[in-house]
Amino acid sequence: MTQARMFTALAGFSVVAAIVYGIISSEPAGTTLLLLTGGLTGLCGAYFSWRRPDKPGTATTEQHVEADAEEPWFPHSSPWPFAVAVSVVLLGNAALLGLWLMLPAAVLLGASVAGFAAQSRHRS
Amino acid sequence: MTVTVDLAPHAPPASGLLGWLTTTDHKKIGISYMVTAFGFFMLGGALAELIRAQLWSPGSTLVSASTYNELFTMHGSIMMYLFIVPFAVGLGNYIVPLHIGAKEMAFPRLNALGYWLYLLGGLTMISGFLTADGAADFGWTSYVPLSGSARTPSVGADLWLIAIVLTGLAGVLASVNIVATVLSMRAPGMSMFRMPIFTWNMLVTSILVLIAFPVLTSASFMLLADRLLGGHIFDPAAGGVPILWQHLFWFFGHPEVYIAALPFFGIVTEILPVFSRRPVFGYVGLVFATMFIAALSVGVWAHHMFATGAVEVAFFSGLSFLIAVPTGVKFFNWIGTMWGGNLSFGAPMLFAIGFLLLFLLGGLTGVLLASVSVDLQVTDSYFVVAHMHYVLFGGSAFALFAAIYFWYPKFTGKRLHEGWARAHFVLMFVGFNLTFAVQHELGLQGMPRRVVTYPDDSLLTNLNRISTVGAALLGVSTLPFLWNVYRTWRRGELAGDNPWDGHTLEWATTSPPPPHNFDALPPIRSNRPVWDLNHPDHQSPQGHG
Repeated sequence: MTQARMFTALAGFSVVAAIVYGIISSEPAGTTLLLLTGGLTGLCGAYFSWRRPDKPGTATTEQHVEADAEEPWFPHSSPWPFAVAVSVVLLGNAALLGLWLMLPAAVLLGASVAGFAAQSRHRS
Repeated sequence: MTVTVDLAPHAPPASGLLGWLTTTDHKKIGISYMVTAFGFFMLGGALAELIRAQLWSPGSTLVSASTYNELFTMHGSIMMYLFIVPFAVGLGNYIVPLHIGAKEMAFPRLNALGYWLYLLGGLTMISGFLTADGAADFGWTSYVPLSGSARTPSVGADLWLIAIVLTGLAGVLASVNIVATVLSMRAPGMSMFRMPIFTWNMLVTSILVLIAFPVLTSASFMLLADRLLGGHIFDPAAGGVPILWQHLFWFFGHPEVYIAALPFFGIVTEILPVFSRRPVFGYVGLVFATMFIAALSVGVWAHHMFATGAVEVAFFSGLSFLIAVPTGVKFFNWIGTMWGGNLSFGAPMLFAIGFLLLFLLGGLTGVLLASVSVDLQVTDSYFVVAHMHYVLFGGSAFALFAAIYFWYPKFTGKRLHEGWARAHFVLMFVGFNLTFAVQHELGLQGMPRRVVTYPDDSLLTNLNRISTVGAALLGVSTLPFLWNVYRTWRRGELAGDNPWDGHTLEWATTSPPPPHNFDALPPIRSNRPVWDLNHPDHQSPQGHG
């Protein structure tokens, strides 16, 4: 509930600021940015009001024992984040170094995103 | 669709370089962020030393005017984009899951992707120095039309913009991960209003990143489109609007100041109670002050644009003054935490108190600058340079070192040497004030910032020389720190799991923590569960949320 209120309050502030700012300044860029901030934080607020994360406010001893006994699952080490980052950086630099780089960078990006997704599916 | 989850023990992750390249452990990624950010800090610091050396005497020709432009541009860019915020992200990566009793973060691989984008984006930015025309040279704010292709045709400028897109994306990924972790991975009993203030501040900071960074990333794409694809978004000759860049930049840029400050407020709020042996004073007030600052920070962007004469001054001046209120609440609570406490002055506390003093001075000149008449007088002068360094170096960087001294035992199991830490503090405090206090006067005397030289005037020369001596001292102050880290790494004394009698959950696990963070969690019935466990006679009031 706290998170819903937090996002909703930020959304409310931004929308009020957008209205006041829009009226007194008639400046479109800032008004749009404030409205977007209000809309997007409002979306988060609405989501958290609808789907409350199931977290108890007070814990019982049983819950602690349960949490401690839970088998931890760790994402295995993964080469894909590095591969995705390298291909995104190559893709960005292709605009400067030469458009010929764009094709191999895009292929590498596609392959590494596919590897990323496949690892999620198989949790290997 | 069903997903089979393999819970069987698996092979240990690779070590060495391969282990680093493929790690998804939030602690290793956190350390990588912090070490990388510190590397960039030393590079940015070296550029600052060159700037100060050039300003030793009027008419100096140590560096050319164009090189000087590159120096101040890359100094500001490195410190803002590659050092202070990424360091906070790294610290948040390491500490936030420990603070909330989580075994991992919500999106470990996304987190790793964020780090690699940051590192490679940062290298892209500084690679501008290797190009024929040098690095970007339009200031870290990249105002158009100066940064347009007509006035800055260099490749270094394009590299800078691409780096802003990459590091902006990295910041967004890191923030999504932190927000999701805090909202959904808390241990049983860890309600929102039992979270340590550092974690609260990282949550609010991350939300601010999600609001602010995409705006700069989009603006950088727009400027790249103008520069590389023949766009006219900021080109007045073709109906574009140059001042749009300033609106977009500062809609990012002012929240950015709080993104670079709130995590460090959080650090200080963790250290003061531990070294005062008291619970934090006004916990709820601190949380709401943080939220209030964050909300206001999205409505004050154009106070950086008063001198354009094209903004609504009453709106921006009023909201800017208002930020002093929640910041004052924080100071009140910090003093209240120390008041009547059993104070001890270990290195983390010294740096935290340094932060309080220097950030207060920076905050006060900030209130002056929120006043339009004063701002118009001193805008783009050294007064503003002094103000922002008091906020971001006197404030954030002092708190950053406080954090390193405070959590180094948790990161490594060893405690940094107290004597070297004190030498570091004294040199840094004296050096910092020598460098930047006189810059207030330089600004009031009319010296503009970002200018390669100044008139041959004895007052200006003397003030600049004091500032340069201070900067040298500030540079030297890093040496005892680096030596301290090296000697502690080689032969430091073991610190134990909880060397400071800490309050929060990171002190409930081993130093350094195991890969799964906790073997067992203490009961969480207040915002300082480890204190409650270790001091059953002096338990905290039980907060709830």
